[in-house]
Amino acid sequence: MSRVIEVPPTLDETGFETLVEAVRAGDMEEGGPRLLLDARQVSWVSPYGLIGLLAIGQAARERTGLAPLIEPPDDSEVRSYIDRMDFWTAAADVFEMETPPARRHGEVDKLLEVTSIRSHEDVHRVVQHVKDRAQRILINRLGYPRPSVIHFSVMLSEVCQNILEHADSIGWVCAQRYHWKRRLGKDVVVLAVMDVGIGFEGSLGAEHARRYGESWSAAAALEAAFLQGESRFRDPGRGQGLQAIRRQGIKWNGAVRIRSGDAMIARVPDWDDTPELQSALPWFPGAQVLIVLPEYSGGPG
Amino acid sequence: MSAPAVAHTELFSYLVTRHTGRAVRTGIERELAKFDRAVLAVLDMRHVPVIDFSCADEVVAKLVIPGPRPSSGPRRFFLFRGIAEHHLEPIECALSRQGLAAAGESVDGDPMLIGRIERGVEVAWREIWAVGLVGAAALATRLHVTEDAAFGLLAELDSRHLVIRDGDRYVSFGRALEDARRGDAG
Repeated sequence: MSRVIEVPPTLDETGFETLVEAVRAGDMEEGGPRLLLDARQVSWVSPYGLIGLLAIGQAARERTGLAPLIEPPDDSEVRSYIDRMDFWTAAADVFEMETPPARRHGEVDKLLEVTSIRSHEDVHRVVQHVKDRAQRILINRLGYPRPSVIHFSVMLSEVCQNILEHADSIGWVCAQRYHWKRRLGKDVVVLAVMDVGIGFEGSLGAEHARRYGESWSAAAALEAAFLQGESRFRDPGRGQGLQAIRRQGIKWNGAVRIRSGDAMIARVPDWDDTPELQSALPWFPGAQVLIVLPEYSGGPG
Repeated sequence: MSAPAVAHTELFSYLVTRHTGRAVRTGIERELAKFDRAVLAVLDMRHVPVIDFSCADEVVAKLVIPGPRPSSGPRRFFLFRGIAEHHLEPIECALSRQGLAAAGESVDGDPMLIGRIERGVEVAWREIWAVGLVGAAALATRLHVTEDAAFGLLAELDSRHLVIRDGDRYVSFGRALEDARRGDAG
């Protein structure tokens, strides 16, 4: 038995939520149907949306035991973009595909192609790989000062390590520059990182749930990690990474959103109107992180 | 206490991920364990293009944290050299979070204390760095404080392994390195 889920035409963070909502609880259970993600109508996709497809596919695969199927977008520009972002290499480990489309090389303001994170070696590779591109994009296109390349690398390292340290599962990262004409009228760098592991509630639960009692939830776990620097380890040196990302987001007037379970927490800049904390969202495993860095507007790098 | 041994370690490449940090720290600790007397470990970070927060915790904070070593065991002192602007925030954060402080030198060779340290204690540390070697009475004179206060500052620096105590005198890491160089040359 299979079930077709239509992927929204605009596949960004809002599209991802629509998609998560479309996946029924029964689709994510053993004995559930084989999912077919029908992306034929997709006319625009962001890094978050792109790896969101992988996350949904992987979650279904892990829970049903069946590799899901995917229909690529019909739109040639979207197809070309997805190819150049190297989506299909990662997708081949998630979806059942006969022959993944060959990777195309071409000009796209990508900072980082879709990259799977399974080990600390992957994090090393990502951080070293991104250096020259970060320099070109952050400094030359977005006007960031030179040290920002290092700060971006640190941010990238910490957010990817979150997958290894807390998710107990594979994850993906992807970053790209583009022009947010409608939303901001500026160039932005969008960095997306996702996994479908145990999530913040599961990760921090053993250490912190008892203290919170009945108020323990995905939202409480996100607040504990993102605002208070709590971690699942008793080691006081742990838990710095997300706080550092949040601080860097503040310095750069960027947006940082973390979705986990049925909640989402955000560092909201003045140009955004996302609520700082949302709960009762459709449940989804693991953690999904979105970081948006707008053109530099001054202050410390 | 006799002059400490000096152990130099150059750190290279990207210090990212906790796993890498742990491996680096374990390697350093293994080297330091070979010394049967006090040792001043000099860790040169000039060739570290990136250090993240997890690595700073493993390589810096967990090294300087006073561990459950037997009191009779040899003391260990750490000096982090070649500290650039971009190293500072992760290191500062990792140390401050645990109320720790470490001695460092900027890429230009300027001494600095990184982490959580009271202003008065830092002033005393800089004074000791400037003169190289000092006792409580001399420090009291230089800082215009009572001898008791000076002794308190020295005790604090000694307990945090930020100066090397030699009887009634307290030696800066800079002086200890000079002495070691002279000893090697002689």
